[in-house]
Amino acid sequence: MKGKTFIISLLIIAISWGGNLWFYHSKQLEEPIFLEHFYDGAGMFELYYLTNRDDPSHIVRVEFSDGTTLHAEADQYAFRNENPAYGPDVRSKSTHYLLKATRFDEQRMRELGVDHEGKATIHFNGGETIVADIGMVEAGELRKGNGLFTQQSSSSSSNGRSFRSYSVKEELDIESISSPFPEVDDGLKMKLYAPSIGSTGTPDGGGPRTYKKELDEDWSEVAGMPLAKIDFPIKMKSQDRIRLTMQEKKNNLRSYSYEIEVTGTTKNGVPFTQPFLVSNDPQFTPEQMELLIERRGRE
Amino acid sequence: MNPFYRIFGGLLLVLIDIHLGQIEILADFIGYLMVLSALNGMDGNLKGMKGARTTALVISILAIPLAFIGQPTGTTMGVSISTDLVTIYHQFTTIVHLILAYFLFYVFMDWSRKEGKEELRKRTHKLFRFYLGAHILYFVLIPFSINIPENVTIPLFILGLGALLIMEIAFLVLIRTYHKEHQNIVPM
Repeated sequence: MKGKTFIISLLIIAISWGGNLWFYHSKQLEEPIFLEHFYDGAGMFELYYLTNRDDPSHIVRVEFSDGTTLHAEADQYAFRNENPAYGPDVRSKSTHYLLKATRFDEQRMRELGVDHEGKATIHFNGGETIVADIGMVEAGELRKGNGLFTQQSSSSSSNGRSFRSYSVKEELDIESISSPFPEVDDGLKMKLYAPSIGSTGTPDGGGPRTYKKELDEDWSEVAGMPLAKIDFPIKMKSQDRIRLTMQEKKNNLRSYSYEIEVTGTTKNGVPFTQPFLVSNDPQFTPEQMELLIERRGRE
Repeated sequence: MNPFYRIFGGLLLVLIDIHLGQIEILADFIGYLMVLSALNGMDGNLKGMKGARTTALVISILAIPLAFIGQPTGTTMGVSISTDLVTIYHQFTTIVHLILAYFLFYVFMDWSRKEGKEELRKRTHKLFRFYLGAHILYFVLIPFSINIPENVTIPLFILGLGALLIMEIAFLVLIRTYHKEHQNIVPM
């Protein structure tokens, strides 16, 4: 190899470094991007955000719009990894970004009575403070069980499908179903199955194998009827099963955990309310991360 | 100790990395200084000698901090290379190392030509092409690892590092041959 060729080779190496570093820096986020959250006190509250892959910081506390301040659960950082990409709070990763989730104590939220909407002030351990729209966060209250429904099973899959199934202990009528976040329901397909509803697909009660199959089946094959088309009341006999299957539409980049309320009356005339938990566990592909940056990055 | 033996020892020291916490024992810069002193003891009129001496001096100084700052995160993490200054600095010294190797090959080829060892010169020239080709390809590709997915970079890394290690060992074996040839000429 002649000197000239060698020098040209070194130049190509330099260009490769320069170009890749430039591209890498052009992909960096100026500050973390928060997902829109819908939380009404049911299930776990986790704050999801997208950040740069080499960003080691984590959330310490959040100031909500109603003035309450909540500290993040610290225990998830007890065993820290030197590389942020392998931290305990990482839910998804791509070449340039990490989707992280921070846990908060729901009990403490109830004590404070958190009632938040829109922009929150988020403090990171590195001293950084950012203001971002995190959606709706309400503390809610603990419910008392009505003793009428027995949970049979619940399952969720990474394709956005999940279901919850109960059996009833006595004869009753379901008169209405309501949701605290109708705007979330719009992006969510839901089907309710009960023996008295004229239904398509596999009926419930076939054991674990059927449940697994149900998660992968085409939506039209899923047992039950779309929520909007149901004629109330739904009559249920003792030991009947009721199942709510949900399918998140693709590229709905948000986090939610809330309860749909099923209300009705028992045969003895006692009114009841039964909650059905609706929640997702966001995990994004690199393409979805890019989509999130496009949608919420420049606000 | 004959100069080839000192170059061999010096480069072997550079190849072997033993870290005690942040500090590297058998530090690279000591190895480079050995190479530099060996070159200073050789015929200054050999082709490539000026470049080799200069580069050896530069890298001896450049490598001093390396002994104390520890390995870059890219190495301790196993795969993905990061973009912090330590990594860039580390990468830069490996490129200077390549420049040194480039000049050393020239020195060796000229030495074997002057001593009339045509076979050895040919063998050196062959390795020279493979050695530089493999290194340049690796150095051009490595920056892409910060922008392409891990599952692609990991196999490439393993393949590339394996190829480079084989090249380094082949180079060391070659220098040992030079050492033996030199011993035959100047019995000690």
